[in-house]
Amino acid sequence: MRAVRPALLAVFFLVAVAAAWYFVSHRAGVGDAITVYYTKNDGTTEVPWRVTIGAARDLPSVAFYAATQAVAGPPQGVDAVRFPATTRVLAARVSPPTVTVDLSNDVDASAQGGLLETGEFKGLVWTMTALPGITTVAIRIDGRAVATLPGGHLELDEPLTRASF
Amino acid sequence: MNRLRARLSSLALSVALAAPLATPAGAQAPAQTVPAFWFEGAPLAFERAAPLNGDVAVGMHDRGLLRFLSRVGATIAYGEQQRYVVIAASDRRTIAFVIGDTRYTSGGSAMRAAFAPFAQGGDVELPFIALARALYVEPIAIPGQTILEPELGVMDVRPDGRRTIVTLHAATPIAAHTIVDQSERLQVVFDGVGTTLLPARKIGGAIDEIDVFATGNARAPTATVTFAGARGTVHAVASASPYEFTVVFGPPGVSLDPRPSAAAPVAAVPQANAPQPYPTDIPAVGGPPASYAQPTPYAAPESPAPAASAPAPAVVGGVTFLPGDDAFSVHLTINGSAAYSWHRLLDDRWYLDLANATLTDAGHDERPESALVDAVRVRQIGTPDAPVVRIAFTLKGDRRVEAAPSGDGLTIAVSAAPADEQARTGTGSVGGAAVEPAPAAVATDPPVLAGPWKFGSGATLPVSGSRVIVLDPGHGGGDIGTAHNGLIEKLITLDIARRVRALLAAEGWIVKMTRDSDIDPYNPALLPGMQSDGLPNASDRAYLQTRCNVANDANARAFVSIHINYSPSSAPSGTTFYYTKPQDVALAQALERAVIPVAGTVDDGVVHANYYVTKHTTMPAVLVETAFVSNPGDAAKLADPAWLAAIARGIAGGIDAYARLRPQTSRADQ
Repeated sequence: MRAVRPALLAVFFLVAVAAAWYFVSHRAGVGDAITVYYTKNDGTTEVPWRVTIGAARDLPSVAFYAATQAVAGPPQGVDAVRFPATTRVLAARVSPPTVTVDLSNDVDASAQGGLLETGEFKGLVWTMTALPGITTVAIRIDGRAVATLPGGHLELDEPLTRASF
Repeated sequence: MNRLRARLSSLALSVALAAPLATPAGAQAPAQTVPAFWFEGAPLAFERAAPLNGDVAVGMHDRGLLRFLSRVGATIAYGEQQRYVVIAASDRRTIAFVIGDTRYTSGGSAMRAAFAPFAQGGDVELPFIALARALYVEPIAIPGQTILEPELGVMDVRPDGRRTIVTLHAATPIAAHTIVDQSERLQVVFDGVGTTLLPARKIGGAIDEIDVFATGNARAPTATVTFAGARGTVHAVASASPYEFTVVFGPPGVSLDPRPSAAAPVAAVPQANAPQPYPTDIPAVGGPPASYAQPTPYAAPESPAPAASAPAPAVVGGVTFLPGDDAFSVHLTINGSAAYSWHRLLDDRWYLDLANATLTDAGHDERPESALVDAVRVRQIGTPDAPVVRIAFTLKGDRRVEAAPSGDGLTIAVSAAPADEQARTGTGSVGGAAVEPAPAAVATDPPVLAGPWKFGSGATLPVSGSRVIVLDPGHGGGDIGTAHNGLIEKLITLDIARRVRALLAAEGWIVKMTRDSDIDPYNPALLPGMQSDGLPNASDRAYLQTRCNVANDANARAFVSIHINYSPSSAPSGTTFYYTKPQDVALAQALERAVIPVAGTVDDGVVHANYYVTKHTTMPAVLVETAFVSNPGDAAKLADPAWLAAIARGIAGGIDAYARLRPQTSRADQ
């Protein structure tokens, strides 16, 4: 029995170390992948897809990464509402429960009807609010708060939530 | 062979870049130099680059790198205080680097770079060779320099029912020419791109095999692709972007549109079915937005004929009131001929408009001692070019009113009998004038429709909003809205709104428009504090708030914004009714019930949205996206004046039905 005890202690120690590592590495609630949403061509249906993330798991990095994935949209050939191809994410600033996503003004080309505009921002908002602790999304265009896109419909100078759509 | 060539080039490049590092310690090491890069026949110069672990470190803000990315249709994104650098490729893949980690992803696949990206001097240094390869650009080392050869990077073969879709994606915009174009066989040469793709054999479905081979050299590469379709197939070529080449093979009769929910085959759309240019005065759009022709001044189809060709107006020389116990009559003495239209409103009011007629006196206001009539008003309205005499009754209850032409004019008789529920409008003539349909007669007279005209016992009350409907024709002026298939949103929305206005006015509503011409209205008083540059711009609150204020200031009963929808895909079609506030829902549902049957469009439903104009109006408000300009079927409707009239009837009917369900509770509200 005395001979077994050290072995049991060693196993217990290894289990404790593994549990601690797991807790530390997953405490932000972000795993190896994030859920990104895109809007189908009907303009309303959200489709989730999992996107692998890299080694950076801190929330500001993951928020930025999630925003870039949402703006890039799903792979080519997927039936989806998409941001204009040249739209870039300039920044994603996290201040829970809000993340402020700054987009390049290439997004202005979206203002061609309710379906396109609503679908794009709905996918972005659903993606960002899937992150832990984030419930609202503020939009900036080239760093500026705008009432709407030029010629657009959607009110953008107040934070958006999933209930906005 | 293609793969072998690529591997040899890659090996040569690695040796070239690694050679300085392999120099023995203590030896006179040559200075590490960055190879001279050539891309598309020109040098690609970086502002600052350094060889590192067999790759080349280039700052993400380097202008040479940004030029390269621009040419391959990629964008780069990086935010401060986070660790990802994300490049979005032209085929929608993302290439994500992490600062401090050699691992990166390309389109979801895990890769490993020669060195980890690192921050330096406010910039982030990236492994350029790894990035170029991820963007389908193969570095090929030749003595003294490295050629960056664009590649046909991906061949995506997708079976789709009885057809097979093949998409080739290149690093740079595709320049292709066809060598062989037979129904079952297509051979295409792509200039300026090489390839390491392998042939595909025994594919099955509508394609038997695809042969790929590279020719030319690193400076002038070409790739030739031969598609061998199955027996009896046909094909069609399409491309969604300059970087793509898509061919669809399938049996005859099957849609060859590469989009998944195609409404019609590309090759099968006969020219006669193509949307025709908007027939009134909207110029066709053939070029990019910058070349949009300036539209000529709008003239609605209902506009009156020029005054020079109009007959002389009839003259109303006398108005005689004839009260009685069981009837009340008014006789108009008329010299000349005129057409008239009459309208019975929902709140016991009735009026008659005598078109092209003038009144010889200042008008009449009569409060007769009658059990049938509360008040009568006669007024000259309209414009000098289109004068109208209107006689209006405020009735005491539900009374029948009949207009009867006579030898010297027109007699209007009110009787105690209840009105015919079905008859709410009608037309006639005096002196043999041609009779116009009632809506058209109203539509020739916009000042009447939009003006503050009132009658009856409430005439002394100020105009308030409870009988006011506000229509908002979307966009206008420099904001053209969407423009496709030869159709321009801002002009069509104005056309529809004008038609709706005429119909609502005929029902007795006071209709205000946020715009009645090709302008984008904004109130300068709203500008201070709402913009940072001191200049009006199209994103400012001043624009849409101005439209909202038209309705808010009038305390309108309802606000309806009219728009045209668009999608990059031709598949979506139909009409959508957007609302924001809970009190908008009933109006949206009333519009949906009235519009869909007459418009014949797909019902895309009542949808919640955070739209500015529906959110910032204080009354029930709905934004109607009438149809998709991007859908061939809907575009044909939008180009058809008969359809525009039909959807206008639907919108007017929906508004009227909504308001009828919620009747006035107090005359003082009017």
